[in-house]
Amino acid sequence: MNKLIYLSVFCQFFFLLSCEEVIDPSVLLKPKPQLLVINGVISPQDKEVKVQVSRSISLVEAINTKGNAKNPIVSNAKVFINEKNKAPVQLNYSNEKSNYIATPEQLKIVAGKQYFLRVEVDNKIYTSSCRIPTNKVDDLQGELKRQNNKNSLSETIKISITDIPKQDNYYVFGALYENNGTAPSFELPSDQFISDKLIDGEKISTNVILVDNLIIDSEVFDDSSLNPKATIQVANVEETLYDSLRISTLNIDNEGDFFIDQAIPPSNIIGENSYGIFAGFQITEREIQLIR
Amino acid sequence: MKTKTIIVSLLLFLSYSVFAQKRTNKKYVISGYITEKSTKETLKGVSVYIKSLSIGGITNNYGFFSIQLPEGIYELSFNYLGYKTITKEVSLSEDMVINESLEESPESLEEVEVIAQNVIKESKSNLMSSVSITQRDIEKTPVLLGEKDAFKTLQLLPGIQGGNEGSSGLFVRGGTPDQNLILLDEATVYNSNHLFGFFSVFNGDAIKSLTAFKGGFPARFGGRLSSVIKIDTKDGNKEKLSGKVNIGLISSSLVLEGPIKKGKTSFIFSGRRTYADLLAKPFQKKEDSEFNYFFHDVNFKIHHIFNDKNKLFWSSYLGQDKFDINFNDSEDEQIVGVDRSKFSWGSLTSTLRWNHEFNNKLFANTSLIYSNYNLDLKVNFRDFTSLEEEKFQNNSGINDYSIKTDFDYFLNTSHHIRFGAIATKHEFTPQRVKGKISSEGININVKQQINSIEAATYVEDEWKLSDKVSAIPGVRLSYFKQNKKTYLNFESRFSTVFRPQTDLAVKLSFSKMNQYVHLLPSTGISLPTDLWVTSTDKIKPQISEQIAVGMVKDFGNSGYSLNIEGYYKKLRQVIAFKEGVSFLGEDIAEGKDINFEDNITFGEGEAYGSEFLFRKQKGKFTGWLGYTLAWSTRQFDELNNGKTFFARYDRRHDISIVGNYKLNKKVTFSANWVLTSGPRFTLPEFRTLRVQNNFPIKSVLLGTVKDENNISRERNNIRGETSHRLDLGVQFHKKLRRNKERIWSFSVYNTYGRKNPYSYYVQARINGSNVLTNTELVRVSAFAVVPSISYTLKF
Repeated sequence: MNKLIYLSVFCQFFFLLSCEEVIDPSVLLKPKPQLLVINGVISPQDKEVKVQVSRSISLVEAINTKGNAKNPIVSNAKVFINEKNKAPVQLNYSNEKSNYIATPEQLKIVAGKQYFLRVEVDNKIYTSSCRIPTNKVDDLQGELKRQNNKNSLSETIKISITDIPKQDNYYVFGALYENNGTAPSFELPSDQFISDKLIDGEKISTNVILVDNLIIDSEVFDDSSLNPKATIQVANVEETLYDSLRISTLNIDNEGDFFIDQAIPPSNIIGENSYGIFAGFQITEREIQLIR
Repeated sequence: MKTKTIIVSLLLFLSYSVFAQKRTNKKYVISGYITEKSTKETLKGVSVYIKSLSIGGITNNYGFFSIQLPEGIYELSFNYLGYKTITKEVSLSEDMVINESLEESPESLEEVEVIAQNVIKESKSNLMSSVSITQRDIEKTPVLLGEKDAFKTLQLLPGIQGGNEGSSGLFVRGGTPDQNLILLDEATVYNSNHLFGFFSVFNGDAIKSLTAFKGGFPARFGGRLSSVIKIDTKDGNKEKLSGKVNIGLISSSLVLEGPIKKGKTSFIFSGRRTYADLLAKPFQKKEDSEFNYFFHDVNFKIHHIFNDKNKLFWSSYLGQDKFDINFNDSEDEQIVGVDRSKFSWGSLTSTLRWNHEFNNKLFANTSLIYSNYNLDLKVNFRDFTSLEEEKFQNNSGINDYSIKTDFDYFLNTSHHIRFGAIATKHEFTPQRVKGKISSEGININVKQQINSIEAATYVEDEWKLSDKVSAIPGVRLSYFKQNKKTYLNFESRFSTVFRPQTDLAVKLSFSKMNQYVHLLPSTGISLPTDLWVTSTDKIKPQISEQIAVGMVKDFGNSGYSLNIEGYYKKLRQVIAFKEGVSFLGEDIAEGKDINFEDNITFGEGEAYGSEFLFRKQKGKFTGWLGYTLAWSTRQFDELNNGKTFFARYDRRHDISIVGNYKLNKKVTFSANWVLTSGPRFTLPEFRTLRVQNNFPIKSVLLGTVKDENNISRERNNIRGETSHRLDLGVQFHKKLRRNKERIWSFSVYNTYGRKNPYSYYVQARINGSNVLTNTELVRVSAFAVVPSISYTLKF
């Protein structure tokens, strides 16, 4: 009787097991016109103004070339940015950086000002506009902690800010930190992207997981070779940029999860078959030391 | 619009008084109850017909009927599907009470009995866009793993579609599952699924009848946009103790019913439990990790007859899914810590109903209703070495307390008036978090609760204007209050039937519905984590307006009928999560403040299509052919860049062929063949460079850095491959001694192993250096060929 029961259970699991199969993408994904992709994020704190112009490739092509197909960079475009009521400044293409660039001397980005983008490619015109957030975060605090859990090491950076009051803000958090080749990593996308919709002028905190479960040999561990400094970052960004960054990160996080559909990232580029973001932000950075 | 509705209502009432004045004094009332002979279960929908006058009526939900006739001698016939017709001659010179019991017609081959198996003709019904199924239909239909499932049987009817492969979710005329009002003995059931949507919570053995309204909603129903699924459980056998034991592959069930006091008080108990967890236990004993899942449900009902005019029903349902995950942390074969997670969700409903017959024309039912849905997550971590302990509990749920009264007033042969009122207090708990971390001395106890009041009053009249024309005009006034915000809405309902010939009916209906409670789904499939929320000052009620036209043709007494309907439905203020927002996992698990209002966006929807149902309900071979051609779209300013997109389950074509063949008294064959257009998915179509490339803060998740993105420019941009499958079943019946019967049932789900899409995803393969090496499109299919066997003993 037991054998019969076990056989029955085995049969159930066998038949219940879902079946995954790699399929020809062209069965579902029909050909669509190529997109002109324009991305430009500008800030008063940046050393240069950059706009990238490229073309999309179809996912079918990406799959059929096993990921070898690269997005073609458009280097023959004419890219102009102007502050409202001022003359446009043309950005020059840099082969080295694959971007159209203007120096602060050519184009000064000022907090609270509105900027207009105009891109000309193959006799077609693409436009967009953005407004630089008026304020940046003044109160940025952080703690770098290292914890030795018997035979593993974990490091965390806790970041907190005071919300800029009396306006809607969209914050993106991050940290610059290098340790044995590992980079800062958030556990969840919601730890990196926080808006102040529920609060005004209060404290906002987040966690950055740095290195988790690094195996070490003994309980007494000499960490003098590890980096004792990190640079914490917070950017106050336009809502469109916030949504674009958040959705893009979320989509990558959800890749391979068949329960969750892709979210549609926003685009504020106007023009035929275009896609991308032109937006402003203000960033605050601060170096912090390891707390022992 | 509101003024017009009020005027129509006043005219309606005026017409009643005019008709009432026309009555002569020589009219008498025949009233009574119709029951099932062997069990004394009341039968709803029994036709009571007087051929000489071509008039009649049908029994209400509690088997009560009332007909007013002039003095005279009449032949009354009582017809009900699957039961022998009773014909009775009465000499009417005073009010009469006739209580009749109908005997089930044996499903045999003898011609005389086949003729006795009467069919209530579809063209005789004044309702439109409604379908009914009985326990017999549910029992015969071959389904996944042999689990008799009322909702999966419903999915085989046109206009009612399933979600993903194997799911028991219902998508009615382009609506979503939360737009279905599911009433179990009048209690709202918020979670109708077990096992992440693969089985419905309704144990087929306990169901007496199920009626689904897809449109043309009577005014007595409200609160949801797309459908009303009304499920009535059995009252229990009043004559003798009887029951049924069913042993299946994944679950077993028991039904026991009988008299507590013969002819007066009866009970019915039914219970079901899956046992994959028990069977899997021996395999997991020595493992450091253990996974257990099971569900169970219990239905219980007591029916007491105080006297001819007063009856009491108390029915309850409890259903739970439980999922436990246990990890042991071991060192040198010693357990040094444990990590226990318990995830449970389920519903509890309880309804106390009192039937009272004021007189032979006025019947009332008053109900006290409790409905609960609860989702509970408990996590407990203990380290035996450091004695550290972390406890975490998160739950969300709803409690509804309702009082409801419905009246049936049989004014005369032309008017059957229904009126009543309902009031419900909703208690929503979007989340409650309790937590304790001993090492950090943290104790959390946070609870969010939102209360609201929903109420409605209605009146409708089933009005026979002439031999050829009937109508059901009605109005419903609905009220909702949350905090200081109130909503008051008129909902007009109207349906009419024109019968140009015998057996042919042309129907038209209009209905407006408001929905004040909403479900926020975390994913494209039904999960227990989906959050029910209430209307607030920011979240307005969802509204639908539906118009439907149709034609019903019965082909003589052959049992064949053809039903064709077309519909157009406009949805307003429908809600959805903003792009990329969901409450799945992260916010709830982190115990963060959930402000669902700020994460919701509002839009509109449109659904239209046509349905075709060719049915045979009589003879050795019964079944139907159903076809649906449908469109369903949505438009939200904040989704899909403001462009209109197709709804997830916008299935263009849906064909169902269902057949049951009774070979002889011992063997019954059944088969379904289903073909549906694939549902829609959002899949990336382009690869682009990321905006992050020029942004100074990098997004790093799980150690992956990418400078390219796969993107889609349109929501639900891909239609999945067409799904089709053939399910086969055979039942072997054998009569045993002492009136017992045993049934062996064998069935095969998806007989030819079609790999129907459950979902698709794009898989990026990355090597150890974070370099993309390959990208693939993967199809996920579920349930290739699933055979099942079950044993049933009826006693």
